[in-house]
Amino acid sequence: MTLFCDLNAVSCSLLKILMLGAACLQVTGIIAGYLWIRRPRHVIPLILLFLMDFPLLVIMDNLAIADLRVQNFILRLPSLYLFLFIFLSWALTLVVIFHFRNMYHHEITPVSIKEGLDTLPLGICFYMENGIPLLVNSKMNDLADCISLHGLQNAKQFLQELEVLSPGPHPLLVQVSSGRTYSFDTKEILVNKKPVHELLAIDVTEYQELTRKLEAENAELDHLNQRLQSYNMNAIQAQKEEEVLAAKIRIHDELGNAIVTSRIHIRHRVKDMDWDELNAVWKRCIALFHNERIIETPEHGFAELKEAGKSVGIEVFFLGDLDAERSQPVERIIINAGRECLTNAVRHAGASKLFITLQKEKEEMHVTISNDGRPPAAPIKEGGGLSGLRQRIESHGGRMTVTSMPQFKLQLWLPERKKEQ
Amino acid sequence: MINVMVVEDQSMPRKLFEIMIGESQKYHLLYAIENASMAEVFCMKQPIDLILMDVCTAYGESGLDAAASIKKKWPGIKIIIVTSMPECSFIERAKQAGVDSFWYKDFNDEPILEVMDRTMAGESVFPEKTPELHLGKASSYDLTDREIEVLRELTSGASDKVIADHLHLSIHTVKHYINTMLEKTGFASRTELAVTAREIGLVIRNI
Repeated sequence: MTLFCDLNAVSCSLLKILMLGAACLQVTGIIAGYLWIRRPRHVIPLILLFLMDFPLLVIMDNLAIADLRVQNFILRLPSLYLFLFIFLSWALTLVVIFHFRNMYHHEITPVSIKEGLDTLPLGICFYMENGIPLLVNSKMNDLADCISLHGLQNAKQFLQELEVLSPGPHPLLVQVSSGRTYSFDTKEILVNKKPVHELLAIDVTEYQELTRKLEAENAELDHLNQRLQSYNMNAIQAQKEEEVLAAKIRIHDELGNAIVTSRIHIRHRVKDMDWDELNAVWKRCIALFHNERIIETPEHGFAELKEAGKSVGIEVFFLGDLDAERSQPVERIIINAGRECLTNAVRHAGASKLFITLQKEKEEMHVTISNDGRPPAAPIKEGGGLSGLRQRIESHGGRMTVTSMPQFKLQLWLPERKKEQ
Repeated sequence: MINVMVVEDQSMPRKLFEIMIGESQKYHLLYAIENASMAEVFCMKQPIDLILMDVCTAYGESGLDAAASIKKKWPGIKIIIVTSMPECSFIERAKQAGVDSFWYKDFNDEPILEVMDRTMAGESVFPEKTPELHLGKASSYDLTDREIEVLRELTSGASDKVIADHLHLSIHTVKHYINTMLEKTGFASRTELAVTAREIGLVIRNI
């Protein structure tokens, strides 16, 4: 600590004073900086504060040089105290700097408010009664620059330009060059009891798109509705015509049948002429003209399958929900399946009985076909007949399974209506 | 006695055949069924010599397909295709199936019994050509084979694109054929064309 005593007394004390002065300056600087960040407007007192340092320094220097007593006092000041003082002031500087930084991040200042506004996805502009903007976020600035040549110099003027561009006065909708559409809306609010206007710009591009789509779909629905209505009316008409046609066909068949039978009987003088049969035939005709119900021979298709079975020596049994309604295509497939199983039963199983069971399950017809013959020797390989049947079933939207153990069993599930692919 | 099976779904012609065969000394009616797909089963064990096979039978089953199948398995059984539909492709398809004779119910002067006799004697009796029908102001003979193919698909109500895909043609070709047919027939719309064609039986799909 005898560092300074190599120099002469005056310069030594001068040096110490300078260092003191520097430290004081530092502290002043810190205080000034702190105050400035807090209240950036109060610059003048800060400058004064700084300026005060210099005269102080000058006075002290003069004192040191002039007054021996002061010189001695300062000389005797241990350098340690000086260094400590300087060290402390630096430490204080660092502490305050970090404190400032935290403050900056944790305190809400006007800057942070602007920062916050800038992160919002909508455009905000606060302006005065006369249109002069008070606070504008970056999004709004960008928008304004896109839309108007003047940017956002005057909010009222900007609004006028928007009104020109928008298809309607409310809401104001403007499409910018990027393709996005923004909706502009203004509101009057009170800030410290003074009127301030708020202009918001919201991106409604997706919303517009969805609205447009909805309108288009609604229009299409209307169109479909109309078509459905006219279809409905046509359908009723078509159904009536179908019924009339069906009646005509029946009359044609029955009458034709009666006439032909009669003609043959009369012309050819058929031996053992069956007058009863002829009578019955004409009675049916007359009943038809009187629109009486004629008992139809039910299930021609199934009866034929039974007869076919008889012709090959197999008795065909129909079991299960025979009364359940089934459509023509479904019945056709069942008969095809029955035929396949019948031919297989004859060729391979040597059966004497064939069982066809119908079960109506919810929306599907479940059919099981089995026989009383030999079980298959090996697992069934689907030949032409079975694979053709499978194709037909699957294109109707149904499914088929073939089991060979312990007995041959064919199962199929058919939906009532053919499922459109 | 020649054993006959009749495959016919309309009751009147079936009844006619039944009666005619019943009267004849030569023929004996063994079976009369409505569904052509069942005919095979009867042929398996029964001594059938002759089949009178209708084309459009019950459940939409095709007599032509059944005839082809039976001819493959039992070529000895004689088959006469019997139809009232003047569909122009039937005669060709019947020949390809290998049937012995072909008889139109309505357009023929020759009675069926004569055709049956000639067929059993070994003859192949086929009409020279399909009967001439009138489609609008055109005759069915005025339409080309390709046009008739397109017309047949048209009766399904499918769009031109679907028809083109089905027939492996370009959509322009299809449109061209349809327009030509509209010109020839003088019909106002393709719907009229399709419906009339189907009504008169000129073209039938899925049989």
